[in-house]
Amino acid sequence: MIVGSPTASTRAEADKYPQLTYTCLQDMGTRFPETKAFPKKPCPAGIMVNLRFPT
Amino acid sequence: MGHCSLITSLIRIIARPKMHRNHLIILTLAASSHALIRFGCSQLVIDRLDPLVEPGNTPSSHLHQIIGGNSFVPDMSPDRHDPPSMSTCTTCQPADDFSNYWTASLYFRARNGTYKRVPQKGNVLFEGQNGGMTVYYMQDQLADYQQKSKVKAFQPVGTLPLTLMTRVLMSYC
Repeated sequence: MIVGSPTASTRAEADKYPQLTYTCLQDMGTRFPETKAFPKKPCPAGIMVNLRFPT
Repeated sequence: MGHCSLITSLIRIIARPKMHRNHLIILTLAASSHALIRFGCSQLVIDRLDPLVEPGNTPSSHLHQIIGGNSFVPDMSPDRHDPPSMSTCTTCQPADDFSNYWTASLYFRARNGTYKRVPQKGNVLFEGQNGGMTVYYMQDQLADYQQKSKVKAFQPVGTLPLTLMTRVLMSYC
């Protein structure tokens, strides 16, 4: 099974893959929100990528 | 922050359990019907290999971080390669999960044009692991605290009887 596409680079293309989201970690307990776009600002505790199956 | 290429793909090879394990799974789930499992898997290898999208290609078109069973090879076609019978150990906490899971790797582009791979880290309670991912198997999505859906025993290769989620955590410092 596969989530996402290496060639998706626009919002419209990303919208085809709702199973792939990002969480900007304010601390290690941050779980929301999940965004379709890669975080645009620094994330103090890092970035968490969430992937869901089945697609 | 400089430009980051996106992590865009994650692939899982389905491991087919042996028949006697199917019966064990049915009995276990009948006894405990509202449950999920969450575990950590350290890095197995970071390499330009992708047995699902580019089987046999060495190297594949881009780099992946890979976790799971040690029978991982460039070509894992199901008719020739059976992870549960060929792997002898795994980087995942459950010693009998010989599945492999992988994602593209994320790079940071510095102002001087050089690239550095963004380090990965363990999730809460798995701080000791080396890179890798957190894996969740559930009856329903993680946000559904009821977890009431019925679960079928493992089906033929290529299907998934449970809801699966994986998480990759990264930070540059």
